[in-house]
Amino acid sequence: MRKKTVAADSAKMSPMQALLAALSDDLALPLLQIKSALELLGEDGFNKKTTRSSAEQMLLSAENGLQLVEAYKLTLRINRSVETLAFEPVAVGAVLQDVAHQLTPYAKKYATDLQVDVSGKLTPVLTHQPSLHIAIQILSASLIRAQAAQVQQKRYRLLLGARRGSGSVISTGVYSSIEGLSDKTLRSARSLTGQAHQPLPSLPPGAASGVLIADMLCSSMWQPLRAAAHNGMHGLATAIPVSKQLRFV
Amino acid sequence: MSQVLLIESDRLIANNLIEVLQKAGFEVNWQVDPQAALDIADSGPPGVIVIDLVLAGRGGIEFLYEFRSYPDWRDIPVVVFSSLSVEELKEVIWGFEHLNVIEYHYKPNTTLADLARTISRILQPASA
Repeated sequence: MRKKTVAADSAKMSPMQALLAALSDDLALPLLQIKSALELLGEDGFNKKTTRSSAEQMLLSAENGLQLVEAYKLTLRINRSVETLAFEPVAVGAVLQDVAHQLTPYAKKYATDLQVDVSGKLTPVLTHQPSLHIAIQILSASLIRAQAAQVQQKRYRLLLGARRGSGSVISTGVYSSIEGLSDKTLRSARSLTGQAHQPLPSLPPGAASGVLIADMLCSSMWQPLRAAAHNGMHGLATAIPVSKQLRFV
Repeated sequence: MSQVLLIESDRLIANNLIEVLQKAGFEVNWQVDPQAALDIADSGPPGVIVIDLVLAGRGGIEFLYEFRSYPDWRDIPVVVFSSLSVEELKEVIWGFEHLNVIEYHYKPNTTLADLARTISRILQPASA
């Protein structure tokens, strides 16, 4: 219902305004998580056991909200000027490992096992490392929430994968164990800025702006996100070109 | 039989709410998927439904219209606990009475204790 309203409203909004609207909705989620955790603490009279677990949850929620803000700021900066970014040789696999390591405590709260799979030895790519890191980070966090909101399971799996694509590109992305989640999520996220022809009412709460920002970052830096598969799991991936010089590194 | 059927898409918020409701003496069955919630209700009608309206796959309002279409479930009270404001709900809020929505709680302005009090008014705690 909300999605239809926002999608309809998006016709009157610029893509950036639509992104801000989605961002404000998604930032409400970590704030509501913190609010409810604090209320639970108060109900328990701030006993030691609950305090530790609630404090951990509040920290993860706050970090998640801040990552969204960081990603948004980076998107704005890239939109202003890509030339100011410092490009360097980046090992995609190392970025995926870093993101998985950082997000593991957050994933645990959503009963999600994070895995990294890098197929073969990949040539480093010449790119802006923070952009790749944050794009994969917010895409992963969004899909962690999205798949847990989609269907109730004891455990979920999320795979951060990379492999050599056709031509001189490395395909990297995030893949879910929930069938059909990724392309619906992407189309729904894009529908917020009026880019999709068929807005779908399947956008999981709290996932829109993360997917949208990751898509904008990937579009500006490499290629837009697209539905892809990796080791039998379906997800969203971008393709990063390998520079000719680095192929010999 | 579950006393409270909670349909909430976010796991962290659901966990906090479940803890508060269980401490208040209620049995809680939590579902993220409205279709799964229908199956649960089919196996034993809940005393009250607490539902967010923004859900993955299928909206809460659509769920409520289907739920109310079954004669056995027309009188089960519903409490909406949503991050959608009245302003955002203006196109559908007129239908709340028809859907037997007993109370609407806006998440940013509602404490978990407020919600527990509302449910207490509707149900007697299982331990009482």
